[in-house]
Amino acid sequence: MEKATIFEAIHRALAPYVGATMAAASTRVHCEKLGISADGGTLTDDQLQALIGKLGAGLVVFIGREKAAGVVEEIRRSVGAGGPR
Amino acid sequence: LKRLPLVAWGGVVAAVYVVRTLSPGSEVFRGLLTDGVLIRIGGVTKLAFLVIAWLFAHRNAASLDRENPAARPWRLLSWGILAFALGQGVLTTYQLATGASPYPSPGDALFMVSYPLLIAATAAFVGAYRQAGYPVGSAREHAALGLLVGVAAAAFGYWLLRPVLAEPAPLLARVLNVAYPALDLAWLVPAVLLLRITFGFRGGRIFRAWGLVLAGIVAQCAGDILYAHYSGLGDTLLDPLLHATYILSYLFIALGVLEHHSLLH
Repeated sequence: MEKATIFEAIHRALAPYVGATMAAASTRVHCEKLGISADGGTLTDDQLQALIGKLGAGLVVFIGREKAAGVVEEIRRSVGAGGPR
Repeated sequence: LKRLPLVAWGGVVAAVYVVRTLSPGSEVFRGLLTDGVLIRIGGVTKLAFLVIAWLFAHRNAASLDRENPAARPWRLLSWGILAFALGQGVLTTYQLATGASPYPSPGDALFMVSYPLLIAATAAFVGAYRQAGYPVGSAREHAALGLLVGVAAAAFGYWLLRPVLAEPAPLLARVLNVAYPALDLAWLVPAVLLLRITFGFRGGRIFRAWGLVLAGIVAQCAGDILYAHYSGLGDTLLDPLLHATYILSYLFIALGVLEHHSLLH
C-alpha cells in the first residue's frame, strides 16, 4: 500500500484531535521508531498495523479507549485495511 | 451541557464587574447593582462554574480505564476542584448571608487543601502525556524547562511577596496573602510544562481543551497576585476587577473540562 495514501489517511483522522502539525510529526516519529523510512514507497500490512497501533495507543491517553478505537477504525477504513491479526 | 449560556453568563457578570471598576460612581451601582448585590451574584456564579468543573472532571476520571496514565491526574484534578468548590461554597454562604466577603474565612482552609491536589494533578498530566509516545519533548527537556520556570517564579515571588509580609495586616491575612500567590507560582511550573506539551497539538481539540484550562490557571494566578499586592496596600478600588478575574478563571477551567468531556465521549 502506498505510504503517501496511508499517511494522508492518518493525518486526516488525527488532525481534528491533535492538530495537523502533531499528526504529521507523530506519524514521522512512530515510523522512525518502527524502522519505516519516510520517503516514498509502500508499507507492508504488518508495518501498517504496527504504525496504526502505536498511534492509537498514544491517542488513548488523551481521548480514551473508545474514541481512540473510533479514530483507528476510521484510518483502517480509509486505507482499506482490516484489523490486526 | 451547553457552553454558550455559560460563556454568556460568565461574560456578562465579569463585564459588569469591569464596568464597576472603571466607573464606580455610576447610578446603577448605587441603586440596582450595589456591592452587596454584586458580591452575591459573583459568589453564586463562581460556585456554579466550580461545581460544573468538578462534576465533569469527575466524569472524565471515571470514563478512563484505570490503567490509562491520564486517569490518576483526572482524579487528582477532580479532587482539587472539589476542595476549591467547597471552599467557594463556604465563602458564598457568607456572601449570600451578609453581602460581604470575609477574609480570612473557613473557606480559605479548603482553598489551601486544594492547591497541592491541583499542582500534583497538573504535574501528573505532564508525566502521563509524555508516556503517550507523541513527540512532546523528553523528560530531560521538561526538567530543564521546569527548573528555569521554577527559578523565575521563585525570584518573582520573592520580589512580590517580601513587602506583603511586612504589611500591617493581621498575621493570618498576611500568611494567606503570601501563601496564595506562592502556591499559584508553584502551580505555574507544571502548567507551563503542560502548555509546552499541548502547544504541539495546536489546531486540534486537545489543545483547545487544555488552552482553556491553562488560561483559567493563569487568570487565577493573576487574580491572587493582584489581590495580595493591592489588599496589603489597603486599596479596594480593584476588588471588582479581581472578582471578574476569578469568574473568568473558573469559567475557562469549566469550559476546558467540558471540552475534555466531549473529547472523551
